Amino acid sequence: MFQKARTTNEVTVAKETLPFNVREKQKQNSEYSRKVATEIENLVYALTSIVSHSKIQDKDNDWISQESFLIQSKTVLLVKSAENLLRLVSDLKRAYLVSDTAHMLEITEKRNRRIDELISASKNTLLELQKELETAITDLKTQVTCGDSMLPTIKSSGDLLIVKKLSSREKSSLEIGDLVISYSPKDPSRIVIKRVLGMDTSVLSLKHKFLIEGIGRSFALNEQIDLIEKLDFLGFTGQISLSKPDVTLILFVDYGPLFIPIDTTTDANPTENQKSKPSNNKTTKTLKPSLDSYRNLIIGRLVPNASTSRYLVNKYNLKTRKYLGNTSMEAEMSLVTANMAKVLPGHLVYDPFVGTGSFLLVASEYGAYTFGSDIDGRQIRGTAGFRRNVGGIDANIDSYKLGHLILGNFVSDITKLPFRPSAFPCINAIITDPPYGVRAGAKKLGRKSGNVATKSLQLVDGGETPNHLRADYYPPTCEYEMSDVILDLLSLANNLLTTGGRLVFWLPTVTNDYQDSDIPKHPNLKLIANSEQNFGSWSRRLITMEKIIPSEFDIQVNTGSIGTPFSETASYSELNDPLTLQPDVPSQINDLSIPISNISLNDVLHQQNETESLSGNYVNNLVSDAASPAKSPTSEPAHKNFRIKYFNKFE
Amino acid sequence: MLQCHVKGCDDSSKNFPLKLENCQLEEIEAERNNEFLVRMYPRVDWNALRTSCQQLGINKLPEEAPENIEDNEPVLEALHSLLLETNVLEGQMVCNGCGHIYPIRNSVPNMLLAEHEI
Repeated sequence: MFQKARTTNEVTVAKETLPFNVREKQKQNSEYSRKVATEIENLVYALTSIVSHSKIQDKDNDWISQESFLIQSKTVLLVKSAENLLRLVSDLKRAYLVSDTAHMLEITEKRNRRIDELISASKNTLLELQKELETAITDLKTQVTCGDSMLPTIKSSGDLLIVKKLSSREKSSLEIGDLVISYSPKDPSRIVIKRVLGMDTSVLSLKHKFLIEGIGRSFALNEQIDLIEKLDFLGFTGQISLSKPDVTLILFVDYGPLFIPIDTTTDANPTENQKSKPSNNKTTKTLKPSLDSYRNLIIGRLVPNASTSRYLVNKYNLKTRKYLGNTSMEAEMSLVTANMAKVLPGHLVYDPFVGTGSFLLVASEYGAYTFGSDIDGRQIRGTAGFRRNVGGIDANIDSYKLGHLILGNFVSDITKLPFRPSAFPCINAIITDPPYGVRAGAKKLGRKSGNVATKSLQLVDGGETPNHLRADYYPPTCEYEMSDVILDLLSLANNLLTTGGRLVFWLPTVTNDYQDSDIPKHPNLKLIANSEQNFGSWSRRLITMEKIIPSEFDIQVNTGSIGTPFSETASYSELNDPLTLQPDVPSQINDLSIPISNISLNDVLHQQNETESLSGNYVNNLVSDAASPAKSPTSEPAHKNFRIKYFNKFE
Repeated sequence: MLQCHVKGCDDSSKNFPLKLENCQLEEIEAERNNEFLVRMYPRVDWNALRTSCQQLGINKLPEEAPENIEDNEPVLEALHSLLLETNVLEGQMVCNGCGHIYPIRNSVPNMLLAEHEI
């Protein structure tokens, strides 16, 4: 086929005069050739589009096996031949034109017939190629996947890739530092230029060791060996050296989320099911995924002297802490929380539900000045609970040597915070895990029944000291509804945070009841992230919010205490947007917040829900809002009465 | 930073600063962060800080609040030592307005209110 092409190329220009009908003939010929050429071009286009389509398919599998790699190389070659054919056809086209001008009509007609034959032959070849390519691509799709990015792009045998050397030196073999062009193993339609950094005889023959990091799974020793042996095709020939490797290769095996909720059907109606078949209600199991069910296998070389902050997870491991409570946040999640709050050295960070101080430790690890408060001073001082008398938060501060950054803690109720308004906003981040009532319920000051105490200075035992001045006095507390806690927290954040400061908190939700509208809103706080940690029937969400405009508090200081008076600005329902309801908001604020309140109304999260929740709830809200402006029963957030909902599942 | 927040005790001349009494002090050495101090400085009520210091028996601060503390080495040092290195271990804070006593135990002030004060 290629030789035929060459013969047609050798058409010579004949020098005869034009016969009468030659122009017409010429026109016909050129039209015909144009038609054929277009046809061929279309074919090649179809071929290349098939190849690129197969590549889109392959994007999901970043990792391909050596076999599929071979097939891909084959497709490369096929496309290459198709391109050659195209070139041939364009040559033929030129041949047409040449013969037209040569007036050798009889000869040219003969030639043209020959060219027609050639073109139809190449058309057939192309069609065959197309078929072949399609089967190859089907094969490719069914291949078991594994990695290609670590495949040596240039093998010393050099048979897989079409490699052209760019550097000028004429040498028969490749050397380190040479520039080569090759087809990208990931995307064969792309030609990449690479510099040879190492030969398979250098890196591959070094003393090496593998480290395996599982995401969502851990590995027994024999499983690790299995995994390493799977990488045999990489061709490591060097010795294995665990103590003094020249190169350390790290293998990340990703199995996706750890918790796989199963049997969710029994979960849908917990109230019905809990009596009939209580045993079925334990719906969450951690299934150990099979070794080969990983989603991704990523391999890389450990860069010398590189380090990560991963060791912090061990440093702050709860097991190594001197003092902790039964709801202390685990190290990894604490660190993630601090990261979401963009905690930096010199920042001032506050935790209004400090508990045993996990967040103070990690935020100060990142160099921030931290302080916290809690309604329960016993937790701070460590005088109650299961690790009492080890010294409380201070014991941890000492053991991690963070005393210079953790400023201190005080006992207070977040609805009655004793902050001096003129000192704020000065806090860069609020990170907290509000008590959510499964193991440690939220409390605030007040009587359970809601009664107001009438006898202010009650005397007991006939003594002379009023009750509240005694050393062992503990004021009465009452339960504090989860949804109220969150609303108060939002207003608090609005009052305390500097503009651009972040509020990061954990919010428990019942998985099946959760809707995006459950995330409370505040006109001055923008939702940055909403990340779920799924525990099966319930999950907790790490909510990150950023204060985007100065609060009323920032402008009008000294207007009162920081606690509840502002809490009505935070809301769950956009219909209760305070800026639309409050006529006497200072105009300055109004101007600032109009676009923002619009954003909050048309919040992305909400748009998804708007059609369902609004159509259903809108009328309800309108009707019930007049009577109960706070929250309509239908738009009640999932974490309201979280405790009740959660326990319903397990009782 | 803290003020008395007993309901009805809202005379701003009296509910802040709280009077420190019977205090046991502790020094915690810390590295100085000038940037942080400069940033926090506008939030500090100079007179209140000075009064509190005198109650603790520390007289490090000049009478007038300096305008620019960025290059004022003695003031920076004094502020740093006061705000970041001085820790009240035990003692109490008393409101000048209503007389509420906020006890400090184990260096943790108890800001809870009695039920008639909410």
